[in-house]
Amino acid sequence: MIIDGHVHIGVGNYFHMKADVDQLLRLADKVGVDKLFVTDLGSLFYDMSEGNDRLARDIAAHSDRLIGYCSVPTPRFGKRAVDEIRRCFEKHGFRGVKIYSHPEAPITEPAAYPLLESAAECGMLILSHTTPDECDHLMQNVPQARLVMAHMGGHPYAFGDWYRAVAVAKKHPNLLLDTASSQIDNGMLEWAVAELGPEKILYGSDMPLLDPFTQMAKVTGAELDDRAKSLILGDNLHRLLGLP
Amino acid sequence: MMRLDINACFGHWPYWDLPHKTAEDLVRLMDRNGIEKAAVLSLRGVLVDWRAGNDETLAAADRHPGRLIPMATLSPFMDGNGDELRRLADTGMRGVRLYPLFHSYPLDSEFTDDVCRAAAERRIPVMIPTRPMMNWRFKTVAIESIGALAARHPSTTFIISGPNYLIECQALVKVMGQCPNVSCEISCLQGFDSVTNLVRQVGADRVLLGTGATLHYPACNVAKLDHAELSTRQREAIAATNALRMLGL
Repeated sequence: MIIDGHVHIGVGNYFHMKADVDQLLRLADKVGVDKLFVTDLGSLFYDMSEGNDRLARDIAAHSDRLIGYCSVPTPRFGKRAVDEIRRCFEKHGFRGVKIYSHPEAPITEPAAYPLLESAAECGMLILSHTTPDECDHLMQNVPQARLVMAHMGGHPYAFGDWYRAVAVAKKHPNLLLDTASSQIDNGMLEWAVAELGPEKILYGSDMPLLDPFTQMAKVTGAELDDRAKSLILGDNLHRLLGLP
Repeated sequence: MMRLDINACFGHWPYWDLPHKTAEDLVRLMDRNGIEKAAVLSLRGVLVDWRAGNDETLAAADRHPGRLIPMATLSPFMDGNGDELRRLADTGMRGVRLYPLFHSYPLDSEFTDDVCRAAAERRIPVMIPTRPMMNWRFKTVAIESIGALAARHPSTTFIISGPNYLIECQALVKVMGQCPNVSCEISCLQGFDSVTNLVRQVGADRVLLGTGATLHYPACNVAKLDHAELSTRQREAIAATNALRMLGL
């Protein structure tokens, strides 16, 4: 089973992203992806409850294909964010949390800890758009959280530093890496697998920002054995989420 | 469908230990990914010594005739100039790549004007990577500055390498709209439907396959082009025909 662990739905001006569920599923079929782990752009960058509820309706209509992230703009929303996570888990059955960190509103502060603790209590994965050092901070303070470092360092705030991402993931048993990124650096996945094992790496495309065929080829074209590729492309998320 | 990779290289990389370093490694990667020809240079020429790098590039092309097409690089340091590019073209170089950020010179300079005039005389393209590869650690050359250079040299063929998505892609389209002598390659263009959208805006005859190997996984850009929504003619043009024309092959 192939699971894309990093997918956006909705509309986003800044990223020029616009995709509804039908478009995403058609794309998934073309790429050969069975399930999409989805975060709503509106909940991440505007009204978290409105977007999460919209996503819940899409998931209800396509429960065999979609898995939901409860998206939260910033842990600085405090109790509201924690309550939203519990609401999305209990009411909608969402299996993950998506959070963002910007230099203007960094996640490395105590306000983030209750959010991570709640997600951990609910058994939810946390997909965080963060730097390796931010993940290091979070894991030191909430080691029971299962944190996925989105882009494995491959975004501007993290200066593309996947070497650092791998080094930090090696320190923390519950810190995982996702492959979604503009970066297609030759050897990055082989290095990550050699250092961490394939069990800590999750496939993500970041579609519809990024080209999913390019992202898929990053894994399928890497010099990894078939078992490692299967784990990265879906078996790890299948196990971590306890999917049937 | 024949594939010609306009943006390949070999050699060492100081930022991490590349799994494939030699020209022979590159040829093996090309074989594995269905790439028949690649325009290459030695990273030695980018990183430390452009003269020695050019020698390595020519030697690698000699070892792999028909597969590796030599691309020169040069800088004003150690007396690089238009005459040197003419000499390099006469020894077999089929294009030149300029790395102003790695070689510490402005694009708006007598050196670049001299090189561009020489490239036009020898009918070889000038490729300018805005970044050496799609890694966020690198500063970028402003696409508009390449456009200004291309506007000053309408008889020179330019290939822009390195733009990614959003603002970068919009700047690329604007420059290509203003300058019919500017083409681009796709190795860093990672946005959704990026090749299809680019072709809709600038046509298929000035877009070239580049993989960025050995710094990039070549499979990514092969897949990007294979799955783009294009006609057969457009895909073939991007995969090889355009590059063959620009390289005079």
